[in-house]
Amino acid sequence: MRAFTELFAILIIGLTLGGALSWMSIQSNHGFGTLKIGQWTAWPQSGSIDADPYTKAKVAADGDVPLGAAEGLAFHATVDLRGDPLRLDCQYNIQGQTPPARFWTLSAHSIDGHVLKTPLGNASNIISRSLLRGTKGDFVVSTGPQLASGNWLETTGIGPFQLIIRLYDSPITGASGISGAKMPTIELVGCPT
Amino acid sequence: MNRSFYVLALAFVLAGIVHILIILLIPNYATKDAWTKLAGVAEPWKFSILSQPGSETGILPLVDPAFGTAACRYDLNEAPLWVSAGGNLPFWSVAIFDRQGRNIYSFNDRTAIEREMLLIVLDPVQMAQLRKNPPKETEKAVLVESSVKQGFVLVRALQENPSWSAEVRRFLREAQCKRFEARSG
Repeated sequence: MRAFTELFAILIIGLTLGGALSWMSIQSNHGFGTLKIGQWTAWPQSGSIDADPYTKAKVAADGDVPLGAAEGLAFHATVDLRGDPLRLDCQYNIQGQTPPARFWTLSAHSIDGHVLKTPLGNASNIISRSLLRGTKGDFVVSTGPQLASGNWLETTGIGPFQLIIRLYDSPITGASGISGAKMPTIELVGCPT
Repeated sequence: MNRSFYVLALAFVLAGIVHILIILLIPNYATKDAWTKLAGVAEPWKFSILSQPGSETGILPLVDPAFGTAACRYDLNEAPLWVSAGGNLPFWSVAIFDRQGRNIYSFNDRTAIEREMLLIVLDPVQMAQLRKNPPKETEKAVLVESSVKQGFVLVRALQENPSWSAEVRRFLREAQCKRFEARSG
């Protein structure tokens, strides 16, 4: 009887722990093969045939079709500079520079990856080619529900969300490009009280 | 006391095995991976439009709203794959994925020959046959050899601003995905 109880305990603990570990390791901000720059995370190997098993599992579970090496690289951010989750009802300043690329896009997505819309029904996104920049090529994008001068990425609603910067046709996807790459910071400006 | 330690150690070993098995098996059994979802909405050998700029259809997550995308499933057991599209967009890219959603090959308008999208995917045997007697229409094509037989092609077309909307639609609508029949000569 005791042996049976022990066997049962082994099975329960083993299966639960194994399952939980697997679930955790494919969640958006965990896992192996990640490239972190500031608040931004990318999976440079996610599209490749020699990606590690964790990245492969994550891609399959998300149903994602990652950008290929000649296409570009996507960086995700779910937290701001202080480490707090991004909120749709707050205003943020995204400022700094991106690694070299032919162009890049910035878009707001729900945590499960859907494209977010503005109240007018347009997608919340910006393309770098239409961006207003400073004299040194740096930029500030304001995101949030309140109209901002300069570059504005409009968001609406409440709850957490993620920002995605996709660099297209960028040398960063090659083996040499990743070291020393800089990404913009995401700074909280204010939230409605 | 020793015995319960032993039980716990065994449980951890089992957890490790279960974890490794799950991670390795997910790509083969995922029910909402890109291929499975494509198979539900798209015929093989034909481009299906998955998203138009500014919107998403919900077939694929994480699409870039600045892009229109179209995908086409193929099977090299039937024939080599021929993909072509024309147009003067500021940016387009094409990527080939295997059944598990892994990227086999990709290129964009600048890495293409004369900025034209013309792509032929072949298995090693078909490639050897083509090399022996290359038909004229393959001269400008990007030839990709793939030992993986089944997969899909995904085309992304940038809509830089709304004035490109009609051109992006035309580009995706007229993109061709078909069986490549090599004519001799």
